[in-house]
Amino acid sequence: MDRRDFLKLIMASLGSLSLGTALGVKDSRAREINHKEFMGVLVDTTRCMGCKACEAACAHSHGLDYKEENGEGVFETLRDTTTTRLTVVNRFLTEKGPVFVKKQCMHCNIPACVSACLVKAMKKREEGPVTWEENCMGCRYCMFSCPFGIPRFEYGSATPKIQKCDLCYDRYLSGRPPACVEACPNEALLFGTRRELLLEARRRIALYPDRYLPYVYGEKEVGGTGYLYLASVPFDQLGLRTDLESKPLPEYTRPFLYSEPLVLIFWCLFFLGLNRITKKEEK
Amino acid sequence: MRESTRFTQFLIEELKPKGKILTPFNVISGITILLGAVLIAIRFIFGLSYVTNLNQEYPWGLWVAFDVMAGVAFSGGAYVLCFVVYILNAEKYHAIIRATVLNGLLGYMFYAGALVFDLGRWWNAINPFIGREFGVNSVLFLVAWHFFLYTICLVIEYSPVLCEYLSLKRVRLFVKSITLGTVIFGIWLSTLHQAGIGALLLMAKPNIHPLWFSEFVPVLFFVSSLFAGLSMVIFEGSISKRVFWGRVKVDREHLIRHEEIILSLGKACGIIMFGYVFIRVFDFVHGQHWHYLPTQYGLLYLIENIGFVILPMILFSIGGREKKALYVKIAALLTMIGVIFNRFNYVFLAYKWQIPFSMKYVPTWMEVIVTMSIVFLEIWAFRFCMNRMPVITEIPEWAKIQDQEKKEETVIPLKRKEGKI
Amino acid sequence: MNSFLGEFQYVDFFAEKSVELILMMVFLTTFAIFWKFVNGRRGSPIRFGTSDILSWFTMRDEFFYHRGHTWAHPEGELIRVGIDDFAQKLIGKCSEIRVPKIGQNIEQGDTGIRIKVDSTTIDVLSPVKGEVVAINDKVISNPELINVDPYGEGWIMMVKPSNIKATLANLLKGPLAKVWLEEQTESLREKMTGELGLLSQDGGVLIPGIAKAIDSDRWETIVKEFLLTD
Repeated sequence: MDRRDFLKLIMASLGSLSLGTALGVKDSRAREINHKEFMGVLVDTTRCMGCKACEAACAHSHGLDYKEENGEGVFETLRDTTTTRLTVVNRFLTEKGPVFVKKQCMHCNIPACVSACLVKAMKKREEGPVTWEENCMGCRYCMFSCPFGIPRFEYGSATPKIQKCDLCYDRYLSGRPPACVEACPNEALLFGTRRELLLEARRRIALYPDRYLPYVYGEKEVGGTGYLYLASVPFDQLGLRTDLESKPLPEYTRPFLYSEPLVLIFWCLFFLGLNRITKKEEK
Repeated sequence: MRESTRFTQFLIEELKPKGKILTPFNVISGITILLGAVLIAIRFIFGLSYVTNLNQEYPWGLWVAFDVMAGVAFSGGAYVLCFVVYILNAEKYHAIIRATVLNGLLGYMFYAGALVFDLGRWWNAINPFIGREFGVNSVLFLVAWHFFLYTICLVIEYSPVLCEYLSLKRVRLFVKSITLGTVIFGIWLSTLHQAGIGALLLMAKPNIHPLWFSEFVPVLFFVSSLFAGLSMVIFEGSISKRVFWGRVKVDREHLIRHEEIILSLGKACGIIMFGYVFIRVFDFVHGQHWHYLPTQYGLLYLIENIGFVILPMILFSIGGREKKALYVKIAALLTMIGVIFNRFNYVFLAYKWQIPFSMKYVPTWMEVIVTMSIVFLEIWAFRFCMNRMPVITEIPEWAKIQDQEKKEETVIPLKRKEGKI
Repeated sequence: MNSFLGEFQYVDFFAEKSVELILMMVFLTTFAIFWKFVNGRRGSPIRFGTSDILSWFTMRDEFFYHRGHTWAHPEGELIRVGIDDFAQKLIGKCSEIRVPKIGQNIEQGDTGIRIKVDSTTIDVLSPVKGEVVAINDKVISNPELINVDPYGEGWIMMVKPSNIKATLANLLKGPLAKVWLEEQTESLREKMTGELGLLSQDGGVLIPGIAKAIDSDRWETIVKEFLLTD
């Protein structure tokens, strides 16, 4: 076998490897349904009083340096999640009066950040939460891709981490609900399987049509999210994006990823052919 | 024993600067590089926020947009010319292939290498390569691996020059024999990672302004890498001419062919850009983006596409047709600015476009200095190689003999076959 | 609250496709025009003479050359003298010329001819020894002729040699002259850091001249080096 054939063999193997990899993407979706189902949280904005107990409980549970902000002025401006505040409650003034909305990672069904992460530091757990791990490179591609702008980066540190809500995954594994859900005094937050939460949300809509808009936010957005919202006013008034499609964002990269093996095969054949055709005959 | 001392003497001799040390360029670039080194040290010791303006809304800024995206697009000249010279066997361009491959190799080493400065947890940068878990669904994974493998390809493609420089005769024979395979592999790698850089933006669809976003962003980036790379070849060629032609004994073929090549490449750029413009027109009409034009973003879009794509396209075409090298060179410069502008738009100008301009990310002077120092370092490395290695100068006699023998090798078997018949 | 395109109401998806088809046809037609435009001039491809670096400077095969870049062409008993193409391109546009008077005797290798380029005077060596019998009035009144036609209308003077054989024996001709010009071209090229676009296709020099383009401050030194008038 001469060098050229050897190289072709290598290329063919790599080609089939990448083809297999691309197909592997499809495989994980066609996998059998296992016992675990996604967990989620239903946020009923008509029940939230804006006490911010969830903020404090979350920070406390994660050991973050959270500063309590109290008093009326706190809701004057919109606050955002930060590297030390993984969830935040904001007040929106609507025609139906003030509405308090909790913001945090949406724990999408098919998350852009998970697809983006090239070292699998962002993981979608089988139980639903999207969590971050320390083998992260700090490339911030997850931040770039997240439609909700959730992951926060510790720019001011020499050993920066990505901070975001992790649905209290470790608490869940030891049988407890997320800290925010536990702390909520008015049961604005409900923790359960996504299936159950959707049923409950629809039940509430059916039972109280004057109270709720007949729409569950997060049911279909970017393929569905783990956090679901009910509200009495249109969601774009509550700081939630309503311009998102139902197609999960990783689906957009699928055609590109598929093209990798195809281009390999086509380029190899085409270029070798071109090279042979255009070679000048040496007398 | 004697061999190693001879080599060290050679090394010391070669490391001495050739030419004047205190030129204005050297002084400016030297100071910038020193300053850049200090800034990078601060970045590593204290954190990104001490040097950059990157924030939670804008995770990617000047370093990603310029070093990684634009820098890699410019280094694309290497794969385009390798295609033309090694696949299409177009002898005319043979004269500049070495300089182009050198520029590409240094481009990947420096610009893609500068990526490490941007990585927050840079010590994990080897994870995509030898880590425990591979995010194979990530476009960035693909891009990272392609960068890595392609740099190796470029090393192989450049190694004949190194071999001639270091008189490694047998190694040269070997690397020359695997050149074709390497080139094909390299073109595949390039196609996909140039497109891949565009594909990185696909998931950011909700955040990128509709005038820029398209499902065909990978195709747009691939096509723009073609003319970005060629523009860089034209640009680098013009500068090299001014700087190096008096300093080194330029190979005759290079001298003769240079202007011809510049014009042909310019013409090619013009044609490719025509296609690119139409792809963008397709996107525009398809998405019915008319109502975006009379906005600030519309203005940005028009400036980028009319001033820095259509205008250079016209200049390339006229220059190529009327054989005016000056037009081609100006067009190349405009194109390069346009590509940089285009990448900036995708990464932080037209990204998170709902945020008002006053609150957008603006790079710090420190980020600019670091970027400039990388550019200068690359130029220094380029100059180092041009002054010492047979990039545009004549190759040594033994190398010519090797090539001649190789050519005869492929002819003789043919003769033998004929003899049998 | 967003519903999906087509969820509750009719969406005309044919319209998109027809727009695409129209656009494709527009592309094909405009591209055909564009392609024709770009490939327009079926004209002279870029060549430096005959793609040979030698052709930067022309020579006349039948002329004799002095190493100071002047030529001598015997015509019967007289010798016609001028400066060669290399010299003409090197010094640039001649604005004035001074020649020895008719009847004056000149030595081979003597400075006799002085050419003014703007405000600088360049000395040129005489290739032959003899008596000046004629000077080219046309070139006196129009020195640019030296640049335009150095071997023809740009001739400078006619000399009657004392010993035609001896004087020509010191000069270069034919293949020897060719080799010499090649070497001179090489040494000139080594000095060049500027644009080779100095030389246009037909070889006509553009102001201000190669020497000046190489080093605008010390161009005279370069000229003297090649014209041997140190």
